Amino acid sequence: MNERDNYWTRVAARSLSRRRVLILAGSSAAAAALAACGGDDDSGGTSGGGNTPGAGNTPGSGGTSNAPAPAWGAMPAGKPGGKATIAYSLDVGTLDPHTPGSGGDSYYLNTLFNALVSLDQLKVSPAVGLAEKWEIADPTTINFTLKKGIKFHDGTPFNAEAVKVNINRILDPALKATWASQLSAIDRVEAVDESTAKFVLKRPDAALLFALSSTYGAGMISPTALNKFGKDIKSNPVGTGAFTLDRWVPGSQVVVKKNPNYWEKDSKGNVLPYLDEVTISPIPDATVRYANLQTGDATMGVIDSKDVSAAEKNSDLVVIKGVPGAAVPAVLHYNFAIGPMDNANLRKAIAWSIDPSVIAKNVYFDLAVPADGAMTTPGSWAFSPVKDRPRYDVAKAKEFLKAGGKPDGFDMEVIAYTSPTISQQTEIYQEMWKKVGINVKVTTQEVSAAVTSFFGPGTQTFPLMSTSWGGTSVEPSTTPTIAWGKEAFYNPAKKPISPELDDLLAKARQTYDDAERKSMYEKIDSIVVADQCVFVPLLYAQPRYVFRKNVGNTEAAYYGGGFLRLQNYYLK
Amino acid sequence: MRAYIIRRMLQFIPVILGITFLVYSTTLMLPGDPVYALAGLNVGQTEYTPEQIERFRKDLGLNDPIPIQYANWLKNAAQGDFGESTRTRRPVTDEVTPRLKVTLQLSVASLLIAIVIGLPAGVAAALWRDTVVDRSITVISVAGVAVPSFWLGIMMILLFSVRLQWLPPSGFVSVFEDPVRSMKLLAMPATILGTGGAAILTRQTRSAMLEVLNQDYIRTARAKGLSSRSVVWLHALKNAMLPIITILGLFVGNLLSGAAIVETIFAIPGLGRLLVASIGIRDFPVIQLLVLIVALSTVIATLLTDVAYAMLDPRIRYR
Repeated sequence: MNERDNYWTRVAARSLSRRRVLILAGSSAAAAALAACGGDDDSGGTSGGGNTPGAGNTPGSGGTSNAPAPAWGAMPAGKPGGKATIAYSLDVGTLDPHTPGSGGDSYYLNTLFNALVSLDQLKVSPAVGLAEKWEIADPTTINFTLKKGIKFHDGTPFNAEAVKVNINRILDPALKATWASQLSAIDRVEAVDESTAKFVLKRPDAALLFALSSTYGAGMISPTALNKFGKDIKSNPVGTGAFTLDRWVPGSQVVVKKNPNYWEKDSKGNVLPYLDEVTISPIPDATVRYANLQTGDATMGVIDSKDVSAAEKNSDLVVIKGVPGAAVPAVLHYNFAIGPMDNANLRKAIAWSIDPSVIAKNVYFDLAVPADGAMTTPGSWAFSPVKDRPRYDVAKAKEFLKAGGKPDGFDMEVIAYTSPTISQQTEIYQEMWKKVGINVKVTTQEVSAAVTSFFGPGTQTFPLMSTSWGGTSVEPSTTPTIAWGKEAFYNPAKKPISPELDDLLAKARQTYDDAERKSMYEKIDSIVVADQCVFVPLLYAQPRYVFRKNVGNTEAAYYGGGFLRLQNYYLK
Repeated sequence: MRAYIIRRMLQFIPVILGITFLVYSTTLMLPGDPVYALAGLNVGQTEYTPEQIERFRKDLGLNDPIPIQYANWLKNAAQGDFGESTRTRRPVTDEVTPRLKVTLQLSVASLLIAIVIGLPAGVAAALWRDTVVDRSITVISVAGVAVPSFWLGIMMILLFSVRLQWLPPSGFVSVFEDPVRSMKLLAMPATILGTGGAAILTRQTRSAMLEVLNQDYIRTARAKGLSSRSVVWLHALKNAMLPIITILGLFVGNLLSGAAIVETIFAIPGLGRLLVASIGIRDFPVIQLLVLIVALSTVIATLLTDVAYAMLDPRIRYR
């Protein structure tokens, strides 16, 4: 054990020093560029998965998280007043909730807008939605009953007609809305009366409610403002959210002020939000973000794994653990159409020879845990561990090599993208593979070049990509839809993973019954991650959110993926 | 003099055309498919069919030969239309203009710091050549060139913000909005950018002054009984100015591009940071305009240098 520790510490130390050099050499510029690609600082991110809403919206007592979810109902009522500043890693590109471009836009949009459906009603966590309830009349008709008396910031009433205007705008191909495809099952919305919106679907789609639950992509904008501002709505956001826009200085800050007419109330019936004013500042450099928290220039913020232990020791600060799987920093993504990874046994040999705990410890300072499931958020309703998924077992890996006809191992070329953490962990994989006789040559490319080389369009030569994924999702269809279907963009082979899988994927989206859906996704996960072994998440990252100690109700960070539930924080 | 300036300006036109063509064509040749970037598609997020992608490609004119694409871009650019940012979907000029103002404030502050430190230090090093003064100035200025700005930036934040709590760690406020806070926020980044320039300026001033101080007319001036101050600052420095101005011109040209790292560290919403972020997400229209601005600023700085030459040295303007 000790010997192994020393060995990996040496490997990690070697790449760590290189990492430090990389970080310094590229300065924070590299981090900023990567962050801009959609992941957060820890995960980098090759995919739009960083945009996955709800990734951080889950109570996760189960799964691999060791922290029990804080009790939502026990949160005390807060004190109104005060100003807060959030030191955040990502900048905002647009304040139009229908055309956001990067996952970072979520925090900004969530202060100003609400979505139609609440995640609470989706059995995930207490959250806010503009619909009181809904009823699935038949598989292609959903009737939403809207909450009454809610007004947009400009005084326009929120009603069925407003819902119709918003959905029509998202579905208009000319807008190129970010979630046009997520909502593509909707044929039309009918405003039956003031508070009833009838959704008529082209086909049943169980993922639709989830899509409607996110302000990122489907936040509700005032129809009056849409008319008034037209294309300029992106800098003149008018929603129903807890805050209204005060000013936006691109690249520097977004300042929002309390919406005095906000409709949500706390446990004692007091009006939310508590804070009078919130400034969100994008600060790309992690060390500088932490400095802002230390000096009190920032009230809350996200920090890098390297600063977490210092923050925990700092008596001015409180560190809150997020949901595991908010990011998936280590993923083996196979192209099963290219040899030698066209052989399932050899794919398994690759996955079973990796010890994720070594990477969790040495690359992520234990802020990530080995993954025991697939791509559904641990602890959420649809999550279950995948039973026979790859674990670290050298003897097993060697058996797979034998079964795959390569008992002495083989040579292979793997692609990775430019990122300090990806380079480090790929280097550790390499050493681990070498121990079972697999010699891997790693090619590293800048992120969008690597994505094109691996997924196409164009010639694809790499059988495996060492990569990361934006995050798990509380909606079990999220990753399968974009990566596991035979024509999905992130299926590099562009053919079915197994004969029955595409059928299963289609069926799982057509039923609204949760128990049935859950068991279908268990089967899907087991085919993709265990049996076929074409997409293997190795780690779930558990982010940390930092608060000055005078902030109250910080538990909300757990549910709110950090700062999504800004209306619940107050200053003591 | 005017004829000279006009002649120099005309000479820069082909330079600018050459730069814009290179910028335009190289961004298209980068790895990765530009249709995703230019159409503002979120790869994988949305399920676009190959036919739709092909239509975007056609709409954007990406199937045309590069010279034709370039000619179209140039035609629009000449009318001030640089396209829309693919990330924010706002006109590129709207994205860039506010940030240009920010970077200009930072640049002016750093330039002042560079001159205020660099010139006197260089003159002092030359006057007290080979003494302790000269050697210390040499060591400090070599260090000033060698110390990387990101390291210095983080160290200053840790010292002045976290430890001493004298200055806010990061951010930006326009000097026209809140002068006091603006100075506090600009102090560290401007010092870092400025000292880098000051170091080079010191070295250049020292050697230029040394050369001039050995000339006959300096000895004559001293022999006439002029005060030492007027000899050094009027007679010697004016004649040592040419190489110093050259360095200053280069420094100004580099300020915009060199600010990228400092702006990223101090979370300043300037051009450099926008450039870095835009490259990361392949926001081609923004990248194209920013590179054009950097190129133009270098060209303008060179032009100003030439004009300053002509003013200082009549031999140049009559050649």
